[in-house]
Amino acid sequence: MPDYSDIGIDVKGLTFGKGKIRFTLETVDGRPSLVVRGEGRATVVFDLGRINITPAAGDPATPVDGDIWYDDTAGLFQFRQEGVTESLSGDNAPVGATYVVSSADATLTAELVLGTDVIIAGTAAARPAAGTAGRIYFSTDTFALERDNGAAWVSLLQGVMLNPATADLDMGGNDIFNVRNYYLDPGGRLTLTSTTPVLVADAANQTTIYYALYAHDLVPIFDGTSWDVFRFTELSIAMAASANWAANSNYDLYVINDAGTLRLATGTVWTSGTARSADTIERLNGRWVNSTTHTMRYGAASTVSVTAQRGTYVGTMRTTGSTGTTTWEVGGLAVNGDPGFLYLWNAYNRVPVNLFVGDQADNWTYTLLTWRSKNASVSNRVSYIVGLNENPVTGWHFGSASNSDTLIAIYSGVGLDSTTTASGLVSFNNTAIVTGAITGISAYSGYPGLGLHFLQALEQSAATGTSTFYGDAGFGAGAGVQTGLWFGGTF
Amino acid sequence: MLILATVIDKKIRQVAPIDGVSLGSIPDKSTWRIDFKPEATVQQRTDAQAVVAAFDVALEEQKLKDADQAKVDKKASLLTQPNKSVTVQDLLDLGLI
Repeated sequence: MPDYSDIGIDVKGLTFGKGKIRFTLETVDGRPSLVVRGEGRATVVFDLGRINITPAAGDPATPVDGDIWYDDTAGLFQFRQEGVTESLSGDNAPVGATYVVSSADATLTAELVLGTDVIIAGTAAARPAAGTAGRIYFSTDTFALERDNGAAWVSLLQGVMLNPATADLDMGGNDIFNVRNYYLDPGGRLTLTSTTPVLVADAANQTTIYYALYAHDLVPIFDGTSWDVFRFTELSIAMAASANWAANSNYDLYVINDAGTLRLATGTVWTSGTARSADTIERLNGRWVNSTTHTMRYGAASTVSVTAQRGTYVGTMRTTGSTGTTTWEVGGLAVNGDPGFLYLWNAYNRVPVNLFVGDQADNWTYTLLTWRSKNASVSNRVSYIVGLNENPVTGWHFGSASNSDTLIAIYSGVGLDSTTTASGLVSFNNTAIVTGAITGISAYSGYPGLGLHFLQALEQSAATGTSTFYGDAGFGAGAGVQTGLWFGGTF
Repeated sequence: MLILATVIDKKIRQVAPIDGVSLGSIPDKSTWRIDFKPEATVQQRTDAQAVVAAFDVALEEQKLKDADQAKVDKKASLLTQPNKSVTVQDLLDLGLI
C-alpha cells in the first residue's frame, strides 16, 4: 500500500488534509468495506451539498460507538453512543440522553410536546381557550395547574400540596384527596335534629340520627392502605323504631364508604350498658375505627359488611325503652324532678353540656340516716352515654332542709350510678333552730367509664325529729328556693 | 307553710310506718305522696290515706302561722325586757332549742 502521508492528494474532488490517512479494504459486518483511518484527530471534510448513507434494513450486526447509519426498516437515522443505539429522528428522541440547555439559549418555545399532551406555562390571563384535550396549563401568577378536557380547563391542584414526599393523590369520585398520615378529624356531629349539630333543646324520643356538618364537611375513611378524605353532606340513619335496634341498648356509629356511597351506620349492639361487644373500636393513626369486620346497619332493612378499620367511629348512642328510638332531653323543673337523658355522644367535636334537674315539689319529709334518691324520685337524675372515657362529668346537688328539732344533721349527696351511696363530696349541716332551713351542697366529678351512667341527687337525715326537705317550698319557679342537681359534661 | 309536711308526717306516723311524705303542691292533695315502709299493711295504708283526706290544710297552716306569730310576739316581749333573764321556756318558745 503506497504511503500518502504528508502529501496532498485529489481523488475525484474529495480533498483530504495532510494528516496521516490510510485507506484499506476490509470486511466489516461480513461486507467488503472501504475503511479510512486517520492518525490523531485527522479530519475528513466533505465539501458537498449532501451526504448520503445508503439505507439498509435493520441495524448493523455489531455496531460500535460512533457508528452512524440509516435503518431502512424502521425509517430511523441511527447512531451508536456509549454502547447504545440511539435515533436522531425528530419524533423518536433518544431515551436517557442528557440535554443541557444553557440559560442563554433556553428557548424551546413555551411548549413541550409530549405525544398529544401539551404543557404550557404563562399567566392565567394568557391561558388559551379550552378545546384541545390533554393540554396542561400552569399559571405562573396564580399557581393553578389545570388540564384541558376538550371543553373546559379542570383544576388539578390548587393551593398547598400536602406532604409531597409521600402524598398519594386520588382525584376520583367524592374522594378529594388521599394523603397518608395527614391529620384531619371528622368534621360532623351526631345530632337528633337535621342541620342542627349542637342541640340546645330537647329532641326527645327520636327515630332518626343525623351526622350534620359542624367543623367542616370532610370525613376521613381508611381504605386499607391510606386515609381517603371524603366531602359529605348531612348523613342520617332512619331507625324507624325498628326492632333491629333493641331497646335500652348501646350502639356505636360509624361513617363508612359503601362502594362509593357514604353512609352513617351502627355497629354491633353492646353486650351490656357499659361494655362493648367483641366488635369493638381501635385506634388507627390516632383515629378510631372498627376493629373487626362485621355487619353494620344503615337502615331498618339495610345492612352492609364493613371490613375491619374501614369504618370511622364518630360516636355512640343508646336506645330508650322503645326499639329503634333514642333521645336527648336536657331536663328541667317538675314535681319529682324532670330527668335528663343524654343518649347521644360524639367521638369528635364534642361541646359542653350543662343542665339542671330541679324538684318542684313544695317539700317532703324523710328522717332516716340512709341515703335515698332526692324526694324518693329517680327523676332527680341525669342519665347519659359515654363512648370514650376521656372527659369528666360533674354534678352538684343543692339541697335545703329543716328539722323539728335542733342540732340534727341533714345530708346532701350525689350518687354515681347509685341511689344508696354518695360519691364525691358530701355535705351536712346541723339544724341550728327548730324549723330553720339549712342548705347543703355536694358534688361529684370524675371519669365514670364507658357506656350508660347516671348522677342522682341523694339525701338523708339523722333519725331524730322530723326532717323536711324543700323543693321550691311552694313559692314557684324563680320566686323562692329551688333545689336540684346541676350536671356538666361534654357530648 | 315551710313545715306543713312535718305536721302531716307526724299525723300519718301515728297510723302507719312511713319513710316520709312528699307534698308536690300543698293546696292540691292529689300531688301528695306517702312513702310507706315496706312493712306497712293494707289497713295502715288505708288509714294513712284517711289522715291525708281529713287533713285540713287551711287550719293547719293557720296553726303554723299562729305559732310563728307567737314567736314574733315572744321575741318582741323579750326585747322590751332587757334585764329579764331568759329561761329555757323562752328558748323553747322561740324555737331555739
